[in-house]
Amino acid sequence: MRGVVYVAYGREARQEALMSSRTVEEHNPGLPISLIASEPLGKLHFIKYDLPRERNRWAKLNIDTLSPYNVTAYLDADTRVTGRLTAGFEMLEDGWDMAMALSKNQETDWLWHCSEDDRQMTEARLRHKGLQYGAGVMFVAWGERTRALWAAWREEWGAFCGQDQGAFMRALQRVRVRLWVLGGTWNGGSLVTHRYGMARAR
Amino acid sequence: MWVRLTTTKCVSIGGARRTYRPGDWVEVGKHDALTWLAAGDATLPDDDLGPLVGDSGILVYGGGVLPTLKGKVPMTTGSMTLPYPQTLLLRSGACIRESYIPIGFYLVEQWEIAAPLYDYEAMACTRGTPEEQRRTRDVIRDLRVPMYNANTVFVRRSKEMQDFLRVWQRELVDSAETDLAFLRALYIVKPLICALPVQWNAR
Repeated sequence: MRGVVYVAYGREARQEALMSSRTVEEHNPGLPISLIASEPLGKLHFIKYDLPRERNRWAKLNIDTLSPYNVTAYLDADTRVTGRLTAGFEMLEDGWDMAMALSKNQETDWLWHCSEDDRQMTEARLRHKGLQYGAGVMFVAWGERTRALWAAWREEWGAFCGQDQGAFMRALQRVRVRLWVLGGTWNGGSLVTHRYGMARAR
Repeated sequence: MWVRLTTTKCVSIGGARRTYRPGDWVEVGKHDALTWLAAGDATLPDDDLGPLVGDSGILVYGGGVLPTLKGKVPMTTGSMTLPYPQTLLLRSGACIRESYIPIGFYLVEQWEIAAPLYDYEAMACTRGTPEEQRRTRDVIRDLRVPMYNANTVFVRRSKEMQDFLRVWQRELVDSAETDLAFLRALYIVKPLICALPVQWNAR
């Protein structure tokens, strides 16, 4: 079953998730949408998962157990969808484990938002500055490989408990999955726009 | 292994930390050496690439133009096959940054295939004739995806990857776009592919 999952803790994130979900509904009628949060929000299918706001990333790192959809599109709350997401789901149903776009931050901006220790550990483990993926839009088919990847992601994130992209890269090096790389259109582009940072407390 | 530093490094050897300057030779673990080589923080003596790559090697196909490398890497020419346990399939005349070659071989000990992206911005929808785009869309469903540089592909030798080569060669038939044919083959076979940054491409 296909569906979209949001994670939203805090007033700004909840507001953003509500607006984002409306854009999904507008362009993808009938596609189920769920919200992982402490409190329900509008008519969104609610998955209760109590966390303090500052630990909200932990919910994303647990969508393997929380998502009710065996093919899940995770969207950051501050995204807006301008078209159909069908192809992303079809890629998973064709046999890919995941489909996700690259981050705009590569090379000189590589993991710029992570701590120096996080960057160093990631580069040492990968043996090069590997591709940085944008973890704000992810299509995932849950199976043995992707669940193992999420378990590794949680472990890697525990090293610094900060941003999650370095941890994702290290986890992917440990647990390899069949990942189809999407273009920027899919995250921060014309199909899924991204209002980076708008879901954070101001 | 021994490397020659191009930047200052503080290195722990036998529990004692010592600062080494550019030009110093230092013996460190393979892990650190590969990281430094990739970052340009160290170089190898001209004949020291060999031990890094074990049984790996380069197959040059599509002609006889061999890459000029400082290090010694086993190399052969011929049709697209996998003569080594880890093979760099290099199109005749294509280039790759030499310092990344041992890392590529290392990566396909873990992954089935590894290839650099051609560009972060250029998408498949910008390449090929309308007919080839349609052919590609029919397979990969959405052309808003980045292209791989199919001229420099690291491959682990296995039955699955032999099958991948057959599919790639089949997709190359009546195709003017090697990179689109590569995308179609990837999508059909779905190997464990490690996409690599564009800086792996020699410009």
